[in-house]
Amino acid sequence: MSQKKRLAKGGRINRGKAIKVMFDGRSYQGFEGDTLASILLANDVSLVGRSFKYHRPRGVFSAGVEEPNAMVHLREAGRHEPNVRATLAEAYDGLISSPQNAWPSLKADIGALNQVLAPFFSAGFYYKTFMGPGSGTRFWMMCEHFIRKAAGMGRAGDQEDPDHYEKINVHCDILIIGAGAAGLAAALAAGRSGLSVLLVEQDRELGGGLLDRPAGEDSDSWLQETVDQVRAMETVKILTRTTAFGAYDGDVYGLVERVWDHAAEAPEYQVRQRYWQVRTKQAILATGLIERPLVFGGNDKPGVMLSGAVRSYLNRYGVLPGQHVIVSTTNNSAYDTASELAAAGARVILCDVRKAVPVKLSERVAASGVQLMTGHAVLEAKGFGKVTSALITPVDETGRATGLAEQIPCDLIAVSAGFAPVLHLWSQRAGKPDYDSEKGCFVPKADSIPSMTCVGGMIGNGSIKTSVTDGFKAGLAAAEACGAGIEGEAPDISFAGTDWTEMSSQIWSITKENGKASGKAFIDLQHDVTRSDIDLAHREGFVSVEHLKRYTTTGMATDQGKLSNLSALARMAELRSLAIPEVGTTTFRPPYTPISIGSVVGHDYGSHFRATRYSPIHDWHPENGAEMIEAGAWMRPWYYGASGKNLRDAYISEADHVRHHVGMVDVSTLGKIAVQGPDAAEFLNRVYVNGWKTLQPGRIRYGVMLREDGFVLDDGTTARLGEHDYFMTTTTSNAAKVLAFMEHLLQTAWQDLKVHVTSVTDQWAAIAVAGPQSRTLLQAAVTGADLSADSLPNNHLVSAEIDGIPVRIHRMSYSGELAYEVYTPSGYGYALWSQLTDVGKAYNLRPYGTEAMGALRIEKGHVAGPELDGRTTLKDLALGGFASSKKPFVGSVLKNREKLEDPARPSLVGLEFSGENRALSGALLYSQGAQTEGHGEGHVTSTTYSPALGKNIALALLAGGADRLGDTVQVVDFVGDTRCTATVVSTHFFDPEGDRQNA
Amino acid sequence: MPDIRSALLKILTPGHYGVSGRNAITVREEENRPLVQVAGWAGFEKAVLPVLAPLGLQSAGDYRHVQRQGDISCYRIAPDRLLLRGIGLTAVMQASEEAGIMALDLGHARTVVRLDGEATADLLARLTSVDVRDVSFPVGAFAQCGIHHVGVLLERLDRQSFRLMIPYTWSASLVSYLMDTALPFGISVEEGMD
Repeated sequence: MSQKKRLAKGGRINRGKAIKVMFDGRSYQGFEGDTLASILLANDVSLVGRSFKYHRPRGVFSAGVEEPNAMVHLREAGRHEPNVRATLAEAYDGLISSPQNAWPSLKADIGALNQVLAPFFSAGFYYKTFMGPGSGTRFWMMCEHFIRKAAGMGRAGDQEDPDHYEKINVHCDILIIGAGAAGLAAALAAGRSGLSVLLVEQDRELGGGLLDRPAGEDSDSWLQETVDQVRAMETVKILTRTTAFGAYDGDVYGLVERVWDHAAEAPEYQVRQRYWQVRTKQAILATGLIERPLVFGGNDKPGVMLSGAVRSYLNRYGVLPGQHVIVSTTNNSAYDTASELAAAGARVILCDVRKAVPVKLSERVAASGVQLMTGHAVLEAKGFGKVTSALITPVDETGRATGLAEQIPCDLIAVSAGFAPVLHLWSQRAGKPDYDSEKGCFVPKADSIPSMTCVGGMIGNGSIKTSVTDGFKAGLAAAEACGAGIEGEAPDISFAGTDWTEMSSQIWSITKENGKASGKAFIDLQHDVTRSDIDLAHREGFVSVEHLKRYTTTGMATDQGKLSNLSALARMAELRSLAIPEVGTTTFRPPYTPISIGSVVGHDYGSHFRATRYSPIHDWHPENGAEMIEAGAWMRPWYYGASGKNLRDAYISEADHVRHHVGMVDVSTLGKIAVQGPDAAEFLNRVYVNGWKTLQPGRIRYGVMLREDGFVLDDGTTARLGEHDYFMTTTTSNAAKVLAFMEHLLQTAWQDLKVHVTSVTDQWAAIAVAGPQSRTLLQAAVTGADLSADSLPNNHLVSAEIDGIPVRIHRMSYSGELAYEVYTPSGYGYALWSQLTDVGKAYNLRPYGTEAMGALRIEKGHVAGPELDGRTTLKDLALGGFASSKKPFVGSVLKNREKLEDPARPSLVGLEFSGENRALSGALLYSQGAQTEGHGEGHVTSTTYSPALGKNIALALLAGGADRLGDTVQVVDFVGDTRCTATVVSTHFFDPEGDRQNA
Repeated sequence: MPDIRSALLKILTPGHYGVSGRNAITVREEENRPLVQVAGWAGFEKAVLPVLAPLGLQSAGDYRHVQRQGDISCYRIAPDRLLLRGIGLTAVMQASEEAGIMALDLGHARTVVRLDGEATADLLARLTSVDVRDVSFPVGAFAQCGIHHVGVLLERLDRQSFRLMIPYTWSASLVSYLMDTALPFGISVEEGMD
C-alpha cells in the first residue's frame, strides 16, 4: 500500500524526487517537499501517537507549529530528538522516526489502561492523591517511582550529540517576522529603502497561508513575483526555516534557524542549527493566525483535524486525508476547505453552526457538490481507534443541541472555531492583549510599542487585500522611522480570500441539550485536559486563570496552549458568567515554540564550556608530569605525579621537600593590581584595615580588606614600587571582585582621589621559591642583586636579572619557609621557570603543586579562600590586631556590630588528629559528649596531612574557639558518614615564632 | 634576554583547518609590541598632550576610533585612559611622570591576533555582539567587547581585517574557541611570532 491518499496530481511537492521515510519500523514513500506528517497521511497512517495522560490514540491534527498530537522521536543515536512535531519535520530520504509515549507498541500500548482509570486522573489528581491516604508522604513515595516512569512524552537521548550548533549576533534596521502576504508586502516596501532588512520565515518556503491555496491560482503568480522582487533586493536578507521564538527589551529578538534539520546529517563542519540574536531598530510582526478547534465529544480521535490543515495537506502536499468528510465550522474559512475537498473527489457535508451564512458561500459550496447543513454541528466523533462516523446535531446560538443527533459515516472530520492571532512575540514585550469581542480573539493593543508594528492576520485581519496593504504601509513606516522615508503604492492584488471574520459565530464547543459534552471533549489535546476538568477546577474554587492553568495543566504542554488557551478561557468565562476578557489571559513567555538545547549552547560546551585561564608557565607543568586542577577559571598544577605517586604521596613529599630543601610553585594566578596615582597611599589606607602611609618604596606589607558590612573581603600583599606606584596582590579567586570593588569606590565614593587601579595579572608571571635553600639558589641564578638577609630582609623587594630575564624579587613567605616571589613579564615566565629549574638542579629544587602549597600554609595557620568565605570577621580569623584604630577604613564601623563582636562566634582554631583520623573540609564540630545534631558548633575549613608534624591537622571555625585550646571535639562528616575526635590547638602548627621565614 | 613566548604556541599551528576548499579566514599572531596605558584625572585631555605630542598625536582622540601615527596606535579606552601601542614608546613613561599622569607597562599583558579574509565579519558576529557591519564599524573603529565573557579590544584594520587584543592568560582558550567557531568557513593559520 503506497501513498493511498496521495492525489494523482496537485500540490507543491516535487513528484520527480521520491523519498522513503521510516516510522514505527515501517517504510513509507513520499516526495521531496513533504513533511513527515504529510507522508503519514498520504500513506493512510491514522495512528501516530498516544496522548500524555490517558494514552488515547492520536493522529495528525494540524499542519503547523500548533500540532498537539503527532509528536514523534526523530533520528537515532546521538541525533535522537524527542517531541518533534511531525507536521514540522521536513521529510528526507532515509528519515527515521518512531512513536513515543507508547509501550510495548503504538497499537498495543499498555498505558491505554489509563483510559479505564480516567476517573482517578481528573484535574489536580497529583495534589489530591499525594495528600494521602494515611499520614506523611509514604503513599506518594510509593507512587512516585511509577509516575515518574510514566511521565513525560518523548524519551531524551543519552548519547552525545555529534552535530554542531552556533550562535550569531546580527544587527539590522528592520526585522520582519513572517513571510506570508503581509510580511512579504512589508519586505517589499522596506527593502526599497536600502536599509538592512531581515525577513524571517519559519517555513522552508515563503508565502505563509498562500501556500495552502490550490497551486496555480492567481495568488501563486503574485507570490512568485513578490518573492523574486524581495530576493533581488541586496539589503534584504531572507531566513527560511527560522523561528522567531522570543522578543526582548531593547528590540532584541531570538531566532533559531534549522540550517540542516532537513537532512540526515549536516555537511562536515557545518552547523545543524543556528541561534540568532537580532538587534533591530524596527520590527514588523506578520505572524498570522492559528485556527481554533471545535470542542466536542471524541474530538481527539485520529481523523479529526483542523479545517485549515486539511486544506493545507490537500493543496500543498496533494493528500486527500478523507473520502467521506464532515466539515464542522463556525465561520467562513471552512467553505474553502469544503469546496476544494469536493473538487478533489471527496464526499463532503458542511455543518455550519450559523443558521444564516453569506449567500455567495452557500452558492459556492452547493456548486461544488457539498451538502450544506446550517445550524448544525458535530456533537461527537465516533469510532474505535479512528473516526468512522459522526453524530450531527442541530444547535442553538450557544452550541447546545436542540434536536436529535444523526449518525453519519465519515472518515474525516474537519473543524474550525475561528482563529487566534499569533501574538506571542508581541505579548512577550507588551503584556496583556485586548479582546476583540466581534472576532472572538485576543489581538495586540494598537501602538503599544513604538518600534514594533503588527500587521495581517495577527491583528485579526481576515482580508488578504487589507493584509497586503497594511503590510506595505508598515514597511514604509518602519523605513521612515529609521530615517529613510520613501514612497510607494501597495501592490494591487487580483485575488481574494474568504474573510473568516465576516459573520463569524463565537461558538467554541458543542454539547448535548443538557449542556454537557457527549463523551470526552478535549480542550488541551496534548495534556489530555477535558472540558469537564475545567468544570471540576471551577467547582473546586479556582477562578484565576493562572491557577486554573496550573491546576489542570491546560496550556502547559510543549505546544503551550496554542490550540487550547482560548477554549479554556471561554469555558471558565461561561462558568463564571463573565465575558472572556474579564476572566483574563495567561502570560506569553519565550520560547514561542520549543528550541533545542544545542542551539542555546552553541560552541559553549566541553573545553569551551567557559573560557579558561592558563598561566604563562602552564605548558611546563603537564610536560613534566603535573596533574592539573581547575581553580576558578585557572588551570593550576595540583601535584607532580610523574614518579607514579598518587595525590597524597605526592603532596606530602613535595611539602616535606620544601621544608628541608627548596621548592618552586607557579603563583602567576595571584590577582595583581597596579594602584597608581598621587593619592595611592591614602587609597590603600582606606581600603586596607592596616596603615599604609608609612610604607617606603621597595617595601612590602601584608594587608586585609573588609567589605562595607565589616566582613573580611580579601587579604594579600602590596609592594610600593615607586612614589605613586603600588603593586597589589590578591587571592586568586577574589582578584576580579577586589578590582571591581576598588573601581567602584573610586568611581563613586572617592572621586576626589587621584588613583587608578588596573589589572596586571596578565602582565606578570610569578614563581614562589621556598625552602631553606631558596636564597642560595636564587643568589646563584640572579645577577644585579644581593639577596643576603641584610640587603634583602623580609618584606623587601629588589629588581634584578636571571639569565638576562628581568625579574623583581619580593622576599615574603606564604609557606613559612625562607621564601621569595619572583615576578617577570608574562612572555618570559616559561623561560624563567626553565632557567630556575636548570640552576636548581644543584640545589635539589623540586616543583610543587597547589596541594602541597595548601599543606604548607595550613601548617603555618595562614588563611585562604576556605576561611575567607564572606562570613568571617577579622576577629574570627584572629586578624583583629591588624586593624588600625587611628584611621577609618572600609568596614571599620560595621565590623563593630554587636553580633560580630559576640565572643561565641566561631573563630579560627587548629585541630590535631591522632593516628589515621582526619577530617574533610566541611565536617561539623561538636563538643565532646554532645549530641551530634543540627549545625554543630563550627566546621572544618581546611585540612591536610602535615609532614612537618607527622599527623593530620586542620583549620576550623569553632564557636568560642580562642578559649577552647586543649579541648577535644567531635568531628562529624555527615556526607562521608565518618566520625572522629580532634584536639583544639593553636593555628600556628609549625614554627610559631617565624624563625625560618626570617632567616 | 630570551624571546617572548607566545601564549598561542600550542594553539596556532600553521596550516589549513575546517571546511576544505575554502579559506575565508586567515589568523596570525602579531609580533609583540610595547603597550603602555596612560591614565590621568580631571583635565586629562590637556595634561596628556605633552605625552602625545612627541608621538605625533594631537589629541587624546575619541572612544570609537583608533588614532594612528606611524607605528603608533592610540586607543582611548576610557575618558581618562589611553592605550598606546607601537615601538618608540620609550619616552612615554618619563613624559607621563613629568606631565603628572601615570603610565603603566602592559607590553606582556595582551596577545594580539590579526584576522583577515572575506568571512572575518561573519566570524566576529559569532563571537561578539558588537555590530561589525561596515556602516557601524568602519575601518579605524575599535571597541572593547566581550568574547566568551572575556574583555577583548577589537579593531578594524581594513574591510576584511581585524585585530584582537586579548588578555595574555585568556588568549589560548579564546583563540581555540575562535578557531572552532571558524571551522565552517575554512581557516588558515599563518606563521606568527615565535
